[in-house]
Amino acid sequence: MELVVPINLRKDRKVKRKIQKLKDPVGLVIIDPKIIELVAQVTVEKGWIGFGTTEKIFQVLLEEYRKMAESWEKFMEGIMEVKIVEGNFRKEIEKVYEELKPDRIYFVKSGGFNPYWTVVKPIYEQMRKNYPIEIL
Amino acid sequence: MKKIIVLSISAFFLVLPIIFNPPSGLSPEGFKTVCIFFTCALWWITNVVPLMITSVFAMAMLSIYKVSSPSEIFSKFGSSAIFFVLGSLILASAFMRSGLSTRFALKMLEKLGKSAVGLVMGVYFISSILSIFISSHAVAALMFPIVMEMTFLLNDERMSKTLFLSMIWGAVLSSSLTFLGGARAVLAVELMREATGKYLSFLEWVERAFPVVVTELVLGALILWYISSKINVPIDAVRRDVKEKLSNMGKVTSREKLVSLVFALAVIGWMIFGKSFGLASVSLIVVLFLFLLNLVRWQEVEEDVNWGIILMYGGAIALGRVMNETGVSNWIIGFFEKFIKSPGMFLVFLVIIVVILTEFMSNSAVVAFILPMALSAQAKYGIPAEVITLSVTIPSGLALMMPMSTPAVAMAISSGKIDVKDTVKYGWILSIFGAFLTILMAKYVWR
Repeated sequence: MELVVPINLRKDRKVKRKIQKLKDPVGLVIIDPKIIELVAQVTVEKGWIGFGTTEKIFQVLLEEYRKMAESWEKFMEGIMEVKIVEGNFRKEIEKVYEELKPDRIYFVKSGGFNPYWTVVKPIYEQMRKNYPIEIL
Repeated sequence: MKKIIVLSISAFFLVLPIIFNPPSGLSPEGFKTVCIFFTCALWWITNVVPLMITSVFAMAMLSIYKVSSPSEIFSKFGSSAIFFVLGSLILASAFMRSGLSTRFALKMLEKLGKSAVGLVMGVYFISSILSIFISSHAVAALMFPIVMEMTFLLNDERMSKTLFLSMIWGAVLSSSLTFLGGARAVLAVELMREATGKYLSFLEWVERAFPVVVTELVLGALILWYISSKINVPIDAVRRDVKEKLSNMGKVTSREKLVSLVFALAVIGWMIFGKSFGLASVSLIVVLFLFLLNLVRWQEVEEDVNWGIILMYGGAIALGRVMNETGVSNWIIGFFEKFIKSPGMFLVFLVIIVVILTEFMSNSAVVAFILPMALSAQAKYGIPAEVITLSVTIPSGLALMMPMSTPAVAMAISSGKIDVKDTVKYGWILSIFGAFLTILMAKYVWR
């Protein structure tokens, strides 16, 4: 069984095909407000926007991420069951890993500009030392 | 890994003037300055630290290397350009906090958004009008939730992409028209004044930028019309949402009325008194009125203004001045003289470099990086300083394609509704056309 954790929730057909090739995938969408807050900061870092406005962008992105989570769940219908949780990214993965004991954990992401990956990458680098995680 | 590589290269640059003698044509101070300059350029391009920290680093190194005295270098924080920008950002904060900007956006959407084309053109028109008066980054931040909501209600991929394109293009293209839409214009004019003593007033800038900006806006409108006219999607949900949001806002408040009055007076003040009293003085009087009339609170201003702009611009102005004084700018331009013989060729080369660079780094950083060098070409090629300044600053605003170029593009792409291939697909037309227009204006009109 493989645990699939999407990073930026794009409806990417290439990603979908890769997941289809897995033996027994189970999806875990984690909505971590802290990560989305950092994504908002990455998005505006080259501009002259104050932290108050960044906060508003964070709220918009958080709301959008929740909608994208449901949309991604529908996109994966028929391929795998997807669980949507809200909480700390790392802790949620660790919790599910303890419960399900998957053979591997796959982070899936689409290419191109991906501020979510920019933020998650250090977590991935840390976690792969202790868990069987790779990028699909 | 990237950080290690960048810092290693930087260390190499910074050690060079300690170990080696300066190259021919450059004084020891000039050698130190050019090494600091290229280190800063590398940091601005790679964003290894925030832009403003690079500027702070420049100031510290210029002091440590004794290129100029600390009092000289740090006095650049007192530049009038910085205070003008601060004043305009505080005014923008009042404008947005009062709800006026949102009301304007929703009102225009109500009037124009009667079809898919109308919605797209509405977002474009709103973004471009607002960007004339407030920073394009703030406009993008304002329009972002409105456009996101629209894309959710419309649930159509093509419409989502087109709406985000109209947001980006409207906000970005208009920002070069005045000193208010893009603070880089103020930085550019200040760098020009430091280097040459020449100056462009608020109105003079608008006069010169107008043909390029308006032509680009028209081209952008035509492209958006072409794309959206093929989209047939019911927009009733959006129209209902806009109506509801407008209704929830209630009547125009006295705060909104007063803010619009103060704003109008500010713009008139900059146009009429900008040259005689200085733009910064007008800005600061406006700020005073905003607080006297309780139109904004200090907490709101603290949240809305990115104070790093003071550090960024102070450092950039100091570095630009030192590059001029130590002869570094002349020395660098001397290299290009060997390959670029004519003024026309120089302008073409300059505009192309700027248009490419601005897709990969902040617009202000492009101006801070390129303009000090380019200004020394005025003597060598006989090109007026104002022409060089406009030829760098206006194309530096053509950041339409890559997410690292401007927050408007980064925000749009982070929404997940649009991708880099979408922003590039039509954005390149506007970039190339804008570059071409700039070169034409530089050669035949601005001189």
